[in-house]
Amino acid sequence: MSTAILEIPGDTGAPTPTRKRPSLLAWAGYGVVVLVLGIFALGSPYFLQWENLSSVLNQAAVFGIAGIGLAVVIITGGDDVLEGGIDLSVGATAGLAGSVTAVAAAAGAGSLRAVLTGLAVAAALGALNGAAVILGLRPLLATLATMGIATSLDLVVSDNIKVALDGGVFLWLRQGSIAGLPASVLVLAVAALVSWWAVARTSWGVHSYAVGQNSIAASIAGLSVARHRFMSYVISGVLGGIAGVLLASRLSAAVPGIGGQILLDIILVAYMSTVFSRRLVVNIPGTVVAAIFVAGLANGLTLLGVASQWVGAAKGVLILLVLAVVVVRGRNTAK
Amino acid sequence: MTSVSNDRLLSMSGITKSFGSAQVLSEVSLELASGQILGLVGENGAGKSTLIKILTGLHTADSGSILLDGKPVVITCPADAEALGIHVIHQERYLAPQLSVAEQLYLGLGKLGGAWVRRGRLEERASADIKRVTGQNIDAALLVGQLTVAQQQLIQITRAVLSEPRVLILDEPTAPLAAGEVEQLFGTLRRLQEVGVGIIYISHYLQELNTITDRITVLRNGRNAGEVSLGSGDTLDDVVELMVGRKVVEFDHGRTPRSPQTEDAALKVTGLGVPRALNGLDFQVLPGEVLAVTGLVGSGIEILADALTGITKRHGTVEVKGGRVRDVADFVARGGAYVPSNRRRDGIFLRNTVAENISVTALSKITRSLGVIAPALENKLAQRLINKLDVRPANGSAIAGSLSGGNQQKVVLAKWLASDASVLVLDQPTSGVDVGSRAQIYAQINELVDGGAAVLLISVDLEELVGIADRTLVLYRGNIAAELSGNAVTTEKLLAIASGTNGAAELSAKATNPINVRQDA
Repeated sequence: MSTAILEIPGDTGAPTPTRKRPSLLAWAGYGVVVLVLGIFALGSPYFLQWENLSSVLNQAAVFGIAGIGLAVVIITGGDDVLEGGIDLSVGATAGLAGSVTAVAAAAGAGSLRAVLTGLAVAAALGALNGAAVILGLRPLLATLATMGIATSLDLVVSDNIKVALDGGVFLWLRQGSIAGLPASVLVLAVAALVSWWAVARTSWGVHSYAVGQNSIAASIAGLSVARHRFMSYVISGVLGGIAGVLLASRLSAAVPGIGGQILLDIILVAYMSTVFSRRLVVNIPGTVVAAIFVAGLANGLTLLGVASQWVGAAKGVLILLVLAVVVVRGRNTAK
Repeated sequence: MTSVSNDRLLSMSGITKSFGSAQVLSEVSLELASGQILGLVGENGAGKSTLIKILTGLHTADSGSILLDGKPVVITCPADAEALGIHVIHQERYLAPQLSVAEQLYLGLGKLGGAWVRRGRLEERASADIKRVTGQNIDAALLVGQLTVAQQQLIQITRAVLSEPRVLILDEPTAPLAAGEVEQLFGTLRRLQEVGVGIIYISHYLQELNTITDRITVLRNGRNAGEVSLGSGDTLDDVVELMVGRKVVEFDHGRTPRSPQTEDAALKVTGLGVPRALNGLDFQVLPGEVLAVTGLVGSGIEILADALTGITKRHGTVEVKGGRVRDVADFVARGGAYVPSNRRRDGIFLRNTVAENISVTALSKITRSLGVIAPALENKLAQRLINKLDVRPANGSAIAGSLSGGNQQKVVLAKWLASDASVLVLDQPTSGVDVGSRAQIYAQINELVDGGAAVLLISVDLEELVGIADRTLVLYRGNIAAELSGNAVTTEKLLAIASGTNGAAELSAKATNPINVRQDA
């Protein structure tokens, strides 16, 4: 069919709205982050020293990488907390992947084989989540169930004791660096760049957002909703596994049951990424910024001399402050 | 039956479909030649949308066959239909609000750019494509959610044209469009027709069908009611007769307008505004009258009821019987009742019983001390209203979700009768309601109004407005474009003002005072 035949002569169009510059409010999320980190820097000169910064980034790497996986799930499943995409098993998957890797390494498998075994287990759990979700189970409940499975398997594999993980590539992940950048930060950077490219710059990424926002619109456009959703959980599993190996390397051991402790921060950074988005949607760069912010909060509050029992409360208040930005901005955004 | 011709593009035959126990289509057939524009009409619930959803893979038929170019095809999902070149513009705008216009436009067409999406270039091309197909300038960097409903519709039309369809289906495409945009759409359709695309055009606006279609297939109650060829002597009256199957006398057009008993407004609205939807409306409803408000989709009528009752944030003041209303609780406490347009979502507790649904507004009447509900009182209250409104099944312990749409709506109305409400806001009270239930709902409204209630009826069903409203306000782009009463109210006039085709609407949208047309009988 020739499209030239559809030419319409003349300009009969009514004036239409043009894109507005993002208002100042759109930057308020970043503003609060810079403000808080600035206060830390003023309060403690040590905060901005490279040694401290690299320790903050080190902590951020684990939440950031797992958070990216969860962000992909939320993007593809929709950001409704109850009905949309969520992977509650991501923390437990990270813990299990760490334990499997450590046990495999202790059993004499090479570093590479040990890591691949751990990631394969994580990917399998992701596939289980994905299968359950496309069968029609609610993600919140399905992944709650797999979280239980992963937590239990973690205890089985590790015999409920710490399994040492050291030497070779694991030592490098803990202490190594390239051009002054700690190894774990490099891993975060690579994971963030690759997933940012995939989500923000490829058709696959546009499709994922479309599937998450309106699955009927996406299927009418000929996209396979099930395939996108399934893949998002596998990606979440694999990135969770990478985060788990990184965490175990940093601690020199796989610690049973650690998955439950990191889950809430992972969920937090993924959802918090909406603050750093023009469209108020979950996104990859925002997830990384949120991970650094959350890691920086605990660190900065401790440096300011806030008693350790108060750190959690202070962190919570600051996080509520940042999230409030979304609500205020949402009022001015077309729905 | 149409004879089998060689250029037969699409043929559906013996299509049967039921949902649960309800048979919505039985043995329906449809024939479409290439280069033909076929009208598909029928009343609400006649099965048009279901038939289209089967053709496009959103539903699967229980039995029947679909032939494309004479060969049987199997369509189980929307992607199958797209692959066969069957494209649809759904009445429900299935769009992703946070995608950019360009992204939404090329979604699934394989034109996004694969491994490296260049947004700037994509947006330029999208703007050019939209301009070429619809003649409109739309910035493709905007998010879909920032567009007006009409612009969203134009995006869907552009996307369907870009996908180079063989069969294009339009389900009520002009509902949100202004007259000029409709002309543009018709021009596009005629060009598609010339290159051999088969088009199925579904519309309630029969005049449009007269302009654009060659042949009309009429459905009634899930069956083929007949075919009309407008070119060869048949008229729109024939279409209407086939649609309803009889001459309908739903309303008593000759009745005299009511004269309200008092000049003290039961509902007084001053400066009611919602950003980008309503520009400060002033009106009042007296006890014993029905004030209707109508307008096209996008004129602000969708949000009027929510804004007035206080569910949506708004400017201006709303007074019920002299007392200012700040929120919904206030509204109800002062004797207000709200029947929302989305019944299943906002109007009814689907998993509760009919009796529980009815008594929820009148709990103080059926509770004993300490707030304990007396089942006997609840059943008595419910049964009285079930009988009054003829809810079927006439059983208070039936689960509300299992009732038909019309009976659910009667339950919603019964709930407000139980609360003795005297200021009723009814938002599309008869949409998706069968003819029988409609008559009962109208009778109930008339009885309430005769008893001194004030009714604000928000409706896009023009026949309904002409039938039961005492005065009618027409909204156009968030302003009151006209107030009509008495014999001045005709469906043609309402449509003309609502769609801005008469100059008066444009004029009054800019002026502060609406035109008043009064020709009391």
